[in-house]
Amino acid sequence: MAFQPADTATLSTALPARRSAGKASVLHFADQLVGPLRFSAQPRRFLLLYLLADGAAVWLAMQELFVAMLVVFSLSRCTVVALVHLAGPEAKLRREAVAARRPWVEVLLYIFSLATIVLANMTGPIAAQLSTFPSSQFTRVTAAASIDATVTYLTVHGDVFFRIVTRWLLALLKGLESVLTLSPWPVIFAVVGFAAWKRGGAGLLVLVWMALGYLGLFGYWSEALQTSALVLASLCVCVAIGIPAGILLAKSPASRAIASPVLDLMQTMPSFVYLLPAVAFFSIGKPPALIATVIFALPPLVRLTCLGIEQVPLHVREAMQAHGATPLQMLLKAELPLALPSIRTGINQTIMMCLSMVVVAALIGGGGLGYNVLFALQNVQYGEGILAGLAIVFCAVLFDRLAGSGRKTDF
Amino acid sequence: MNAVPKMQFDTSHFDKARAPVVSCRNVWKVFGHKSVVDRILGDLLAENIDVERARREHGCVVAVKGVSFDVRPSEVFCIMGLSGSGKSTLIRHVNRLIEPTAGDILVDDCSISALDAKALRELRARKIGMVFQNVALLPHRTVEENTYLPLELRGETGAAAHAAVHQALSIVGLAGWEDRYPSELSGGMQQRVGLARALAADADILLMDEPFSALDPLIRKQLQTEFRRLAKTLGKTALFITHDLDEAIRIGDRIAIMRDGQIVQTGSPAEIVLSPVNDYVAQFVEGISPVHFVDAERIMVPATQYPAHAAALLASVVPEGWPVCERGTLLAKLIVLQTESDRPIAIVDGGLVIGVVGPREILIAVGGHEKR
Repeated sequence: MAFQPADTATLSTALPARRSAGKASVLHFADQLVGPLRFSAQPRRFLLLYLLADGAAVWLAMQELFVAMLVVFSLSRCTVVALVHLAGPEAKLRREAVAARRPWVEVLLYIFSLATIVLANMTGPIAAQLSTFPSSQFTRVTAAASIDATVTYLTVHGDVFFRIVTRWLLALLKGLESVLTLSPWPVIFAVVGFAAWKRGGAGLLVLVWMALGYLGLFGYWSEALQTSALVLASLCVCVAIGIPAGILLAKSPASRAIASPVLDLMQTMPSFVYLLPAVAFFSIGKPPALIATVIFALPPLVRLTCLGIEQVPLHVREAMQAHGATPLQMLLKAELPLALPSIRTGINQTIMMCLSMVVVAALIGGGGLGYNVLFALQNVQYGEGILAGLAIVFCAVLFDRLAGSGRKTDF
Repeated sequence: MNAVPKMQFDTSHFDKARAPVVSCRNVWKVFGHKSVVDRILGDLLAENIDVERARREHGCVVAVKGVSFDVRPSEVFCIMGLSGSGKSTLIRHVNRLIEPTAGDILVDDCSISALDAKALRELRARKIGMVFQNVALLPHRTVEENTYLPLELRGETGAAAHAAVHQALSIVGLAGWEDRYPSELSGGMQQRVGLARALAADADILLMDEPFSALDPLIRKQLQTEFRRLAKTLGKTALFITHDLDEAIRIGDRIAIMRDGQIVQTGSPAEIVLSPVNDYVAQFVEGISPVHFVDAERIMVPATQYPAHAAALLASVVPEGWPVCERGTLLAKLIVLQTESDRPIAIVDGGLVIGVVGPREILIAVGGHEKR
């Protein structure tokens, strides 16, 4: 890059005296060759590149692959030189370099890493200690045993509580299931068709009748109803817990700080891991399946409720306050109605996540379409498996189109 | 050059003798970390630390800096300032949407900082209405339901409340629009709903936070005129925030000019335009034409000081051929009179000649500068 004479002059006055002797460039090839040890003259952002390349070079040297070492080393330096020259205006690089005037942490990290790589590749007791992390079988076993003990303790002593919860969940499930199974199929066709027609016109009507037709024709009718009952029951529990929790999170930053990692945990922890304790607490059958589904499907509803309330514009809050609203009036008359689209999206997400849990739930006796998939897989019946999977997809389509994803807003 | 004497201003449209409805007493608002604000507040009040230093060294922003003013009953009081001058922060102190860091606000001679949550809600619901720049209507409610909001919040239902809503809507000219949603209305109409909402609560005091700033000029002018008329006929006391001096002049009985959290000048539109206290205010009033709000009394030369006909004038004898007009006659009218006559105009008050306005006085007044 060719600098105008004026630029060169300003640059050189801004630089230390020894640098200004005839050269305008901040980054000398020599500096890049030495790497992090001359960090005071170059931006720190090449640290990771230097670390990886020089670490590999040192390892290769230890393996006596000197040619490879030289290749890696020179490649890394060429890359840095190329990056520097592609990086754009020199003034920016110089600012970074000035900011990095005393980069002792970086230099120490670089030296420490290289030294450790050398040590780990030598022979002897230190090398053995360095190459594998000192794990402790004992710690893990003790921790696992204490969790086991806790679960056992809770199973025994919390028996009454779990039995009450089980009974309530079962009542909810059975209620929904009997409503669904007692309705003759033409009634379901008519009601669902009407809802679809109200929401999305004739196109949607045809779509939902095709989906229902598939479920009926291929003999998944009663299983689909069971699955729907499970999904609806989970949804009830999710809404009952999720919306108040979302409101609480939106109102109190402290609770958000606590709940945020818990919600992450609920979503990322593999569901099989808590399926077993759920069985221990609630015995086999539908209640533990419901609990597992709720754990998995709750977080999006909580998050989206919280988000919806947080997004209520400040001026609306101010107007409510200025007209003398109590906190409860604020919530009921402004915040919740304005958060409704977001809450609806949350409910839709929750339904989808509930449906994605039906196969897992079938493992512990959740029944429904998940069981068909499971049975087909266990007997290596590809065709049956795919047909049952499609039935779940059609259930999802029905729920998604009817439960409303907020595609149609009222205002 | 004749010195123009200090004039009395026409203040008959509000009652000076009654106590102020809203009174700010040395109000300060400092934004920043609470402990830091507490620490430096004493120094700020004693002026040991200036605003710039508070910001640079302590990270505190002084938004309102020792502001005091009184709003008299049935007066429209405008606070005019550019963005960042602290005017929106200041108005939010009056209904305690923002708590003052120091100082006190009295509403009807009662300090509002002493109120508990319930009493404060009561004050907001019954005594003080507020209209916002961005209207802040609830999008899921119809015009009628939005207007009904303040009544609903204080638990009033039934026929009387609905009558109040309909009356408020017809006052602002929105009768027949009750069932529309805010998104179906134009900006001007939305702001009318905002105004109706404040009127429905039947509050004595209206806080207007730049209500017309986001509207196009024609609608704005129309609403300004209507608002002024409404405030006067309903006898409301209004605190009106604006960044537009034209608006302040058109609407306000008195205007306070704010800059950097302080009030620079308070006075009637004529006072502000004709005798700005400093260059900052002078800059604002430069382009303002005084013809519609400056009256004869303000610009006349008193009869006692009129050299040519002093004796005759003092005897209240109007010289031959002089046009005569009352002391409250506006400059615009005087200009017309002057163009029709080559004699000076005699200004009378109840049959007595109190002064004279000649071409020279008119030209000085139109020039916008009282003293030169």
